[in-house]
This record gives sequence, C-alpha cells and structure tokens, in this order.
Amino acid sequence: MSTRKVRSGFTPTATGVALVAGLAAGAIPSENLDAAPPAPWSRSSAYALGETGLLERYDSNQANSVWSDDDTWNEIGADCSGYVNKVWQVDQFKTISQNYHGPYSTWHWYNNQVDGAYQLALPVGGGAIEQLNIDVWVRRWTQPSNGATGGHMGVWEGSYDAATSKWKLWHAKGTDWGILHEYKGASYFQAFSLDGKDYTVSRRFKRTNW
Amino acid sequence: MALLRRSRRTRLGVAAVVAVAATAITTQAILASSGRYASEIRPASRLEFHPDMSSVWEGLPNVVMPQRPNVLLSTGERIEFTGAGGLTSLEAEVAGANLRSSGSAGETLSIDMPKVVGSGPMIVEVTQQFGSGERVHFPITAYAVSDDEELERAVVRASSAQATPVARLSWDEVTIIPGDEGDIIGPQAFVTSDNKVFFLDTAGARVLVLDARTGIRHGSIDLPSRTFSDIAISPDGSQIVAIDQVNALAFDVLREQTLSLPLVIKFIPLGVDWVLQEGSQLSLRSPADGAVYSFALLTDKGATMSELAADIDQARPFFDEDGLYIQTGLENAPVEVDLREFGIARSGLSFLQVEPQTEGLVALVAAGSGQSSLLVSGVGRVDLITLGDLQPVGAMNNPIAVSNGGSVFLATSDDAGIVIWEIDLPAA
Repeated sequence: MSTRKVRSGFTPTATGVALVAGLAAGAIPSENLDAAPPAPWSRSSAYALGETGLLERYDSNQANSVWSDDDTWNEIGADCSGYVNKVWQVDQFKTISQNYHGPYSTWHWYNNQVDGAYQLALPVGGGAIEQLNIDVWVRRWTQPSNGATGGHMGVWEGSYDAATSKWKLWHAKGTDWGILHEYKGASYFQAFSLDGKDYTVSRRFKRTNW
Repeated sequence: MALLRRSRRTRLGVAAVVAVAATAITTQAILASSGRYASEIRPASRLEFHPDMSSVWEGLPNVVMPQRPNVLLSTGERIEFTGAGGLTSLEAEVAGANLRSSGSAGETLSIDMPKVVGSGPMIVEVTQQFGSGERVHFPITAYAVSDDEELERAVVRASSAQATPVARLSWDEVTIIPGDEGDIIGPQAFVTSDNKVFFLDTAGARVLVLDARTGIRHGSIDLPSRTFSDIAISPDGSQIVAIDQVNALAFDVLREQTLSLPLVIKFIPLGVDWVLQEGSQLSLRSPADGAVYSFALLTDKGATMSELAADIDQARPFFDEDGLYIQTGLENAPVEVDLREFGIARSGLSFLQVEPQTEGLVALVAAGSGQSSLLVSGVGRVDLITLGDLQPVGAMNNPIAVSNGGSVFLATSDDAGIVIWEIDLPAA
C-alpha cells in the first residue's frame, strides 16, 4: 500500500520565468573583459568570460577563438575547443578579442593530452545533483569505414538540474549557430551511432586549480 | 504494487443545489480501445467564470475531480454561457444513468452510483443555474474507480514496445554534419498530421514530407536557414511552424511563410520544446519547471510578444527527491509514478522530450544504462513502455511526436538511415 501525497497547486518557478523573460543569459558583465585576464583564473571569472560569448555568431570557426560581446555576425569566431580553452584560459591568458585558439583540440582533451591541474571525472553524471559549474565535457567520434574522426566539447553552465534531469551547457555549436547555451538530456552525453559514425560517451574534466 | 498515487479524493461540494445523474461508465467509451488516446478530451479553459466548482465531491465510486474550474476537462461540445448573474443552482448529469443526488450550498455532497461498473474516465454534463435565469451547460471529464487499490493496481502498466515502421529515410536523404570541433547537426524533430510526417532536416534547410502509411516521400519544403531547431503543430493540425531561435524566425510550413519572432528568443537556450497552441499561440515548455509559457502570437504580419504566463493546465512531468511524477490534465490530481518499481533507477534518468497532446502526456525517459522508455499518460492512466531496441535518434532534440489522433511516433536510426515507427499503445 502506498502512501499518498497531496501536492499543492503548481507555481511557476523563478527559473522558468527567467528563462522565458530572456534573463537567464546574455547579461553583459560590467567588468572589462578585454583587459588582460587576471591570474590565477577563477571559476567566477571563467563564468563571466564564457557568458560573453553567448549569442555570438560567426561563419567560420575552424581553429579560431575570438569573439566580441556585440551580438553581431562575424566572419571569424570560435570553434568548440577554442571556446573552452579560452573560458578555462589554457594554455595562456588571452582576452576574448585575441584570436588565440591554444594548442588543444578535442582530441587532446579526450586523450588527456592537456597540461595542467585537471582531473578526469567519469562518467558524466545523472542521478544525484552534481556541481558541474564550468566543468568541461568532450566527446569524440570515429567512422570505421574510412577512419575519419572528429569531436565536440563545451562547458556546463551550472549544476545538473535534478528537478528536470537536464543539463544546461555552453558551447561553440558550429558554423551558422555560433556560441550558444542549450539544454541537453542524459542521452546527449551517452554513446550512439549515427550515419556510420560511432560517438563515444562524453568525458568530463574538473579543474583543480581555480 | 503501488505504482500510482492520486492526490485528490472523491469529493464535490457546490455552492448551490446539485443534481447528478450517472450512466454506465466504461473505459472504452472515452479512451479508444485501439490504443490511441482520445483526442476529443481537452482542457476547457473557458470555464473560468465558474469558481464554485473548486470544491470536492465524495461518493462511490471515487471520482477524481479537478479542483479548479479552469482546468476542467471537457469534450468542448456543449459549453454555453448566456449572461451574468448570481449562482442559484447547479446540475450535473452523467450521460445515460438515472442516478441523482442533490445537496445545498455549503454541504458536502455524497453521491452513490451503484450502477456504475468498472473504471475509467466519464463525462459529466453540468448545468449551472444563475439567479438571473441564465443557465450554463458544460461537460467535464472525471476518472472513476471502484476503490483506491484498483486505481493503484490497474492504471499504471508496463509493457514492451510493439511498433510498426511507417516511414524510412536513408542517410542519403537527410543531412548530417557529424561535428569536427563542433556539434553534430542532424534532423532535430518531426510532427505528424493527417497521415503525413513533417520531418525537420535542419542542416539541409528543409522539411521533408512523408506519407505516414506508405512511407512514400511527397517532397520537401525549403527553409530560409539551416538553424531551425524545432517544429510544432497546432492542436487541430491546421498550422505547422518550424522555429529558428538563432535568427529569431518562425516558418509556417503549410503556407511557406517566414515570420520574424521577438528577438528575445535568441536569449532562450536551445533545447526547449516549442508548442503551438490554439489560436496560433506559440509557447515553450521550460525545462526549468516543466511548465508551458506563452511566448508570441503568430499572425500573417509577424509575431507579437505574449504576456508572460505559464499554462499550468498542461500535463507536465517533474521530479522530486524520491520519484518521478506526472501531472496529467487533471489539475491538482497528479499521478505519481515510482520508476524504481519498474526496475528503472532514478540515477541517470532524464526526459528527452515531453509531447503534450490534448490532456495527455508523452514523456520519453532515458535510463542510465542507455535503455529508453516511453512514458505515456492520459486521463487516469499511465503506460510505461520499454523501448528495447527502439532507441531514439541520439542527435535529435525531439525524437517523438504525437498525432492529433493520439498516436505516438518515434524516430530511431540504424545502419541504413532513420526509421519512424508508430508505437502500438496498450489498449484501454
């Protein structure tokens, strides 16, 4: 015999309202992000810098990492690893307007070839509330028929939302899309095959020297 | 097993005289036995003028009644309202049965319906008498059971998916950008209407149109950009719009018309489900709380920003610390499903998509093992269907669709391409 629960009427959450009102993202920090980043890098600074990229659009992104905070369409933007490298400020401190990608691609991240005080945490969460603030995820794919490979990565904005089992992530999604924030469910980080390509389970990195 | 719990009891109190007649109730009368969820039941938000229905009803069999008038479920066929005036009486009639009971203002009304056999939704015809002489007629839907245990045992059921393939797209027919230092961009969503599948081939900047019976491709409709992330269909199927948040565009697929959306849509994260409600009202389901929010009203000349409002009437899923809950269309009568009793761990569970259709709810959930299940909820019932090999397309934001007729479709992939299945829902 089950116990019964009586629930009160539903009240829209502040988060839900903020999402629709457009308040959840896009706020421009008051600090001057084009100034030289401070060292050591902090989680809050990374958050502020990463947020400036949201809504940034561009047509070409390969091996670049530069963006403004003007919501205009630019010819050069950031690829996914370039965006992550700059949010985490590896391997050098660079401003958002300095087109510096850094030496690390998704391959380097996925294969633990990134120097620094980082901790590989597997697997990507689920279940209990996880603190994922500005942690990094990366996934690779291979195409057995021709040996082609590729990958994608990004950062989590905040905690795993136990209420809805969604993650909100920031990533340089690609040409046409730009840098976006996006909700994803657990399956996004799991392995699957599509169009002859095998996508791996995402790996998660924590930074230990904030 | 205690799989489903109900939060409200069988009570109805009214502020005036009430007469009730009841008829035989059969589940099949409301929920089609074909396994499709009835589409004629829908929220009747027009009943807001009737605050005195926010009360309780007690009797045998138990009847779960909505607690607020603006969330009553209705066939919508006989709603009349002819004028204002003070409420003096209220009659409720369950079509067909010669059962009556009455009460007066402020009393708790007890109704005995001994001729009622079985359990299932029923339609109650309500007549409201005002002091000025005006009478208001409207039907409401309630769910009847003979006792609590029956409700808990009978309504939640688990099964394995049986499905029929209705359409197939080879990998040559859809556009996949695998993602090299960028995200995988593939088909994002689809809707079904009038035996057609409208498949959003995002990276190909088009909507593919397929016959849902033969699988034959009718053609395609070009989109103005390659960043449309969702597609939505109106309740009556007369309007289908694709949504491009990046460029703040809506594209009316059937009219081939591009509309500008309020620029604030750029600030809304991708991954929300867009919902096209009655009257060309574009809304979104927030992953933050599962509620549906009005966003913009679509017109031929463009879109106007809607007043921010959450539609709490919509079915929605939500978690708390110990389980997964589903609020069906019965406001304040959420059913509670503990997935642990199906052998599905809470850990790693997530909704991929919620697809509300009429009062029903379809939620696709993914377990940590990678196995997915389809959770389908209608009035008074919940079916959890293990998908087994039918795993949704990993790169799609919205891999399920519900037709206006209540059929459920799922997109999967294999070595050859994408397959769209119609899931055979358990018969009511």
